[in-house]
Amino acid sequence: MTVFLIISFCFTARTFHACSLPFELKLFMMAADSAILVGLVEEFVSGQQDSKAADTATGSCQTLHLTSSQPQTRARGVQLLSSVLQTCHGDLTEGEVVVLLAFYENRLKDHYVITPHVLQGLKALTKCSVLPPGSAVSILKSLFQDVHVQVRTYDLQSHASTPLKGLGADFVFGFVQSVDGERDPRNLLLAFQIARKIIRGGYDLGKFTEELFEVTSCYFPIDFSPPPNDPHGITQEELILALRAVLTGTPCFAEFLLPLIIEKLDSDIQSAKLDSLQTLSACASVYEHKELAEFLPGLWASLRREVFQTASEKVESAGLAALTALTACLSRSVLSSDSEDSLNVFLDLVLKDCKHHLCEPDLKLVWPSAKLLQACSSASYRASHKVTAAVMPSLIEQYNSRTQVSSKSLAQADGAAASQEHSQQALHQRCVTALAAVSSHPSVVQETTPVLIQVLTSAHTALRSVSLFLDGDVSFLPENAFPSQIQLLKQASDSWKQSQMVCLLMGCVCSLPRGVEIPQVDRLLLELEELSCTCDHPLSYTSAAKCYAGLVNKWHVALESLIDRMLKRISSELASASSSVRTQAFTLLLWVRPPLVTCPLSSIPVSQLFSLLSDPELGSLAADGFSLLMSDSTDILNRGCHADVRIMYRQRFFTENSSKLVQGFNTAPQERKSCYLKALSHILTNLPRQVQITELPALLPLLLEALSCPDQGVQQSTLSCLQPVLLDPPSALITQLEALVGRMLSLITSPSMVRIICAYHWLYQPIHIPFWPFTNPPFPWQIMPFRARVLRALATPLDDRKRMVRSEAVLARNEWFLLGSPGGR
Amino acid sequence: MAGGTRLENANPLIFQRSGERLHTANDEDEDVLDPIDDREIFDILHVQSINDPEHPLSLEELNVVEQMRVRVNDQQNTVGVEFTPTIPHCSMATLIGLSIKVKLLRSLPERFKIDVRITPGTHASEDAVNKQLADKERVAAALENSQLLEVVNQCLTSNARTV
Repeated sequence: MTVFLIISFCFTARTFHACSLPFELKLFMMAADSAILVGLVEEFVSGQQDSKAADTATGSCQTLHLTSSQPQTRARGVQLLSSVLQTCHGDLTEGEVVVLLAFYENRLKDHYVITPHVLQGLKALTKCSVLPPGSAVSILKSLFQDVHVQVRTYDLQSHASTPLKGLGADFVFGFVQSVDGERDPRNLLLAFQIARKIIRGGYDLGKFTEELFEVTSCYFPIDFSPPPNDPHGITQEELILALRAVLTGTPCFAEFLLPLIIEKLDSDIQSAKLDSLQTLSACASVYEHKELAEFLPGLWASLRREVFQTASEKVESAGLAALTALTACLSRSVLSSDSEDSLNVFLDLVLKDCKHHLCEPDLKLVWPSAKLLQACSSASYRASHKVTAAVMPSLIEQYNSRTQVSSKSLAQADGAAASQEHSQQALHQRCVTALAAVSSHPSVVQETTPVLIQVLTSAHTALRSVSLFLDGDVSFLPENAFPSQIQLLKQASDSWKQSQMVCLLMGCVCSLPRGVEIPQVDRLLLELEELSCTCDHPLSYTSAAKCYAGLVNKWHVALESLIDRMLKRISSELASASSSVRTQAFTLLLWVRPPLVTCPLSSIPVSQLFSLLSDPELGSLAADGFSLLMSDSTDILNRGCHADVRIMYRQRFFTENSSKLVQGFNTAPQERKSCYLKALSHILTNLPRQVQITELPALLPLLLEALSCPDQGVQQSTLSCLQPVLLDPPSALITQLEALVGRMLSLITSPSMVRIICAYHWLYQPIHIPFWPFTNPPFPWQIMPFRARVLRALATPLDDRKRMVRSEAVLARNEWFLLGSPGGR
Repeated sequence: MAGGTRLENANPLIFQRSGERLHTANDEDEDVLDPIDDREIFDILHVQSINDPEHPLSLEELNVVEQMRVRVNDQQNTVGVEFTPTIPHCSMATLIGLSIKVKLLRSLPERFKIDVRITPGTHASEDAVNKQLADKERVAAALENSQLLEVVNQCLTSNARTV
């Protein structure tokens, strides 16, 4: 029907040159040879400048061929048309394309002999740039419906990928339907290859993922024996590899593939097992840990069974290879802070099952266990570290008790460790195991370990980490994915994530003992200084400052000129009030820790700090800085990190500077007084008890004045300062009681004060500030005169908004009721 | 301790102490008002545990005071506490009730009206005791009696939180 429509369309739409046609037609009818046919076609086309005429001519050809009752003739007609199209497809208009498409789609329903030519024509048509959008869909639909021997179809599809991707899930569905039930190995091979292209080509599988998987996996595992004298030469191996490429192509299949593998591993047929294991190895290199996570127990159970009860060496080695691949996959995973480490979970599973066998060398399970452990640990550093840490002690212990068998297991573990290069630890471990193997005394191991530790924390690590940070040399961390050019000590515009790595450098380098040489220390210090003075990110510049300080503390003798320069730079930054990096410069100054450094430069920073107390911008920072100066730093400048700490530096600092502080306070303008008070209270809090008690009476008036300072920080620090004093009050306090009680009461009644301090109390202190002088009042009889006043005052917070405040007030008030009361205190 | 030579209830039943109240984020948020609730009153009565005059145990452990029997209404300024003496003829009942009342008087804002009574059906002379406890003048007079005050204070002087 469509044929006639086309003909009539062709005839009515255009005119044609009547005279030239008959000759041509005759030629065509006579041309049975395809070579001549092709030549004629080309001539035909080149002779016609007008594409419309070409179309007409071919249309008229069709009238003769298409209605022929001979399928071969029809086939030739279509072949002619297709050839013409192949050469002139670029010249066709959209309308013509639509017509031809409709024609071709219908031809698909025709005799199978015609089909190849139809396909050629379609192929040519799909190359048209004016191909209307929905046509790809219709082509494919008809292809799927009508074409049963699908061999060359797919070649076509691989050429026309872009419009096909737009079809997305429909295409996948069509493909799935057409592959279903296929038995011919050639077709299967092609089908697998196309499926692979689909998966790799980024087609959206949509909800047909499972169907696609089903239709390909039903052939797994492949059991194919090619017939004798097979002309196509397709082997089972080819099919297996092609199918494997499909199955392992995408992580979307993980949830289906892994159960299938586990199921097939249970089968009795060796080739099935082998195939499953090899597929498992292949997919582990593609998948991530999250796909594997839920299947790990099942996989492990099957793998363990295969190795423990192995019937064939091939299966065993395939199983071990699969285990190694799995472990490697898990080791590659990047963890978030709250997810569990699947590598650890998996290794725990493995160790649980294998470890105890190693302790029973008389049972033959020790060999498979050892092999399994070896396979695991050869996968990655992390795995080997964990496995060897768990296994080595018991092995060595065993070795010392029973020589023969353990030495073999040690040697195997040794072999596992040896499979990694570059690793200093592995090298040492080999030495240790070698040592253990030749000697039989436990004390040898004890002796070698401290040496090892010393070596490991030494120059080697320092060298490596410094080169990492200065030059971006990542060669000693091979298992990670670093960008090729990392600049950890430079601050790029947005990469605070990179620059904050400097805290790792800090950890590495600052804990080294003093005897260790740090390479390129000058350059390192310069870089650190630069980073800490210019970076915006607080953690980065603080860590850089800390690192600088840690280095300077230990090696300042050789670096005086550098330090000098740095101090000058800081001074100039701080002196200019408009500099944008004052905070950073100040941080660096602070961390260099003048009291600790025994060099003559130390006096300059200290006086600078004092002068900064009256600075409007940095005043409170400076005051807080005193707390930093006086307290122990947990991460770098303490004895544990081999820092140079002057004895009694706090007392010395205090005695040298307290008068300066008091003087500064007295002369400062009102709004700046709080900074001085804060600094004072910080210093006092960190002094040892004895010093506090001797110094406090002189400072008491100052502290009491601090209590009435509006700054809450000052109040808090003063209170914490006064606390030890009041627990064991010196007699000097008695004269100040009235003032103290008065101040305390006013603190209680101030609205926000109370709440904040109570919150502070709950979070940080085990005592009830500010009610603590009331819950355990000192000098019972001396403060009796205040009882009535206090009881009245404490009645108000009983009704406070916040429960925490109320409960504190209840405690305090009840105490005061009992004070001086019969039966009470 | 005003104890006789013979204990009235030598072998009381002991109940388990409930744990400390858990803090929530709202507790530290200044803008959120924490209303006075039953648990808070209960905590007042047991955190600084009121001791039973006879035993070295707290009232909570003897189940004399339970949280269920504490009712507070913050809006209407009322507090009601029912306590259960350990045995129906407990002669210390009045003393215990008085201790509870005094504790609450010292610990709550003045706006609250405090009602302490014996759990109905648990004591032989509960009406008499309740009447005494409800009488404000009687309570005030009792507290001026130094001996009585001493006993009450001894009940209330307890294992305070260590400072």
